[in-house]
Amino acid sequence: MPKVLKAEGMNKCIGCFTCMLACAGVNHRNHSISKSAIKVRTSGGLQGKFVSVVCLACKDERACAEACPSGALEKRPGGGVILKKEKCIGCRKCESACIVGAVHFDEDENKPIICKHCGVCAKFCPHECLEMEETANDL
Amino acid sequence: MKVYLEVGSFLKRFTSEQTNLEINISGDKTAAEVVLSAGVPEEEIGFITVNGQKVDSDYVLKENDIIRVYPIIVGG
Amino acid sequence: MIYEKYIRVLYLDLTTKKIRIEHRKDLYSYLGGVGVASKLLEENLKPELDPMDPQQPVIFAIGAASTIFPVVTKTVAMFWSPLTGELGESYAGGRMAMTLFLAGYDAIVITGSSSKPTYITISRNNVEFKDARAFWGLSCDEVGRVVREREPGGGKRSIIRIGPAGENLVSYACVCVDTYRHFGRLGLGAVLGSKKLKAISIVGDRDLPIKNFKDYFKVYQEIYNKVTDTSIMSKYHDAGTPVNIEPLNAAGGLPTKNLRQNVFEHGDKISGETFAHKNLVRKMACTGCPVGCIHIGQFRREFDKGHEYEAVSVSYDYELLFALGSFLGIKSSDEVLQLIEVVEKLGLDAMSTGVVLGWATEALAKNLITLEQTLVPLAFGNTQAYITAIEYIAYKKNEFYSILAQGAEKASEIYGGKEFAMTFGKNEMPGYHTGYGSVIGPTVGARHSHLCNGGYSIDQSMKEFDKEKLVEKLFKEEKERCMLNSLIICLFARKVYDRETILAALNSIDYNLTNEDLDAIGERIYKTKLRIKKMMGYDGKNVRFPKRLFETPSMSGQLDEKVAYELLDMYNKKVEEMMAKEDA
Repeated sequence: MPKVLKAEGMNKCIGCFTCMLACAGVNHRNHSISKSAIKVRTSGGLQGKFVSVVCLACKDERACAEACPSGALEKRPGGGVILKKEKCIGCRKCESACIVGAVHFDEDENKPIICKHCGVCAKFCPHECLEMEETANDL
Repeated sequence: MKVYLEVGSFLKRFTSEQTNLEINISGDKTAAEVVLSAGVPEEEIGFITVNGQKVDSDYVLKENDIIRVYPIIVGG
Repeated sequence: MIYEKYIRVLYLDLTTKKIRIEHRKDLYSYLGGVGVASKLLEENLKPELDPMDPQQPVIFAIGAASTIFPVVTKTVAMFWSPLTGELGESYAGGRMAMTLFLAGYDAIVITGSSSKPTYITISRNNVEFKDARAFWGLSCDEVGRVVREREPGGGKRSIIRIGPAGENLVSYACVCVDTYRHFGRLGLGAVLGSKKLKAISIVGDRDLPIKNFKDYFKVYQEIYNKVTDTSIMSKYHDAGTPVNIEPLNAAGGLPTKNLRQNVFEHGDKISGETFAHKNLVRKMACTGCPVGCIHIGQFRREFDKGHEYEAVSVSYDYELLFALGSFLGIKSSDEVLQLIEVVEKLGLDAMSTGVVLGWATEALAKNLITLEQTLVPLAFGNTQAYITAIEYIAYKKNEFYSILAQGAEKASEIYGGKEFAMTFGKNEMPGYHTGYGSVIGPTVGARHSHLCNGGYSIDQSMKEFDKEKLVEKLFKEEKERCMLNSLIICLFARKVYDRETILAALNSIDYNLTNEDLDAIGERIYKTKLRIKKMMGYDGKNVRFPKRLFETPSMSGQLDEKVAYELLDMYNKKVEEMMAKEDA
């Protein structure tokens, strides 16, 4: 069964950003949290709550893929999309199509940062905020 | 003979959340032996008191002694 | 700079509003952090001018492994301390190290002063000096909010700022970092205040490819597992450092009521357990730290009649519970949090504030000072009086409070009561009265902090008191921490970062170091600090111990003043030997 990332324990988040460092490191071979597909931030300064902005793994219709003019975003089994870098022209239409703001744009690469639902962020979450959940294949 | 072991807030994780234990011992046992056998790892023991007095770990227990174990003092 | 053989330094001059960048190959052998900062302080210091002259430099530096390994979270600040008149060195966590790292600067040197209140914004491709006139007078909390709303970069940003105490040049004003962390000790807030520098906002978002992913990530995972699997995780995350109240109080090592007592009869009311039950609402972490030791406590305040309440949240730690709790005889967790809140808003060092007030309370009781001077009836346990007094310190309400704003040492020089002014090298004491280690450690420590060499920790681990061994351990630890603070790890994780781990980590990011290199780096840094101290007029032979240390028994029993001076001599000799070696 395919798995997708669920960030349902964000009430336990301590804001250590380890998930972002791990995602940027493993998926982009980069030290910068700017390269992470999951973004943890506070709403309203540090006194506000921690929230995560990450791909919700839309099933059936994927707005980002629909918006892509070059077919670079293919449906991922179970939800979300897979980025085919060689097909991407860097037009940023996927970024604006995602209404939860989970498609980030990598200015250096001129490509979107797309969550693969690989689970590395959940593996390096020390406080069980993030989990991988099994889901039915919708394709 | 019977002795009593009190475990403070932090160390109770090693004693299945029990904070007050009644322990039967036979023969000469030291305070440290009782604390260790209750499950508190050696490296977590800061110091031990018996009946309110700080004792060395080789203190030999007497009937109805009240042992209390404290964690290591932490900081930078 | 990571993967490069130089240190990238950003120089900011507040007088000319000019910046410059230098790539310093010569600083590479100092690794980073406190090593680099010490060298930069040494070369920018102006010994002919007053310590508080606005021309004096302030250095910030991140370490050789900042952010990219677990619990390597600190930024160091170095300056000329207005409190002790010598070496100022202070560390803060939060997001600052990550933002400097990803903005591309290893160190910042700030010189000069602005004629008008200013704040600085720093990013990878811009540095600006901006108008902060309207911010002058704002609390740490408020100025953080306005800068946050005005400047971009949320999530990748760190905002450091001073409060009214810094503006008013209180000698132990702190600098607040990202709301809950601080450059707490030795008065950096006043130094920034003297430069009219209200805040700095740093955004870090550069592209930084990992050079050797396989090696790096292998070491990263090993350290991550070590941190999260071992008990340091639970210890510092669970109830946090306040867990200390219970054992220190039981063993007679908890400084209480200006150290008139070593046990607090109401200790259980301010214990870590009590705070966890009554006040704890949240835990947080510095960037890159899976532990999350920051404990946020909440209290309810009635601000008006008719059930008008607000919920106030502040961070708390052991040292705060000691300084603004047992040391002032405060009997409830809510009241301790109230005092912390005032200290936070005004931007004071909580430890110095508590210890200074402890002296003032006893001085008033002994009629060395009068109620006409203190304006409020300072008495152990009187929270309301302390709240008002803290405000009077920050605003230097009258002549007495202007002097109190210079620390317990200064106040006792003028009004008397030196024997119970609880300072080490003019820095107010930490919350450990554990034995000779807790007395000698901060006295000989480069910045007169318990963090210099962990003397309190040596007191605990030493089975039998041995003068030679104690001095040797302090000396060794002081050097080791110079090396650790060049990385800059959080000292809570010092047991995770043994030599083997440090070498594995650094060598996976392109260093090529041996164990002997680490020894040499530690010693090189310690010597640099000692040279700076000498330049600032410090002489290890001229320090004093407050008599109270030898009147109130410690956790290891009664301490003898003669032994303390003997240990001091022994330590000074070791220092002299090391320094002579260099000259030879």
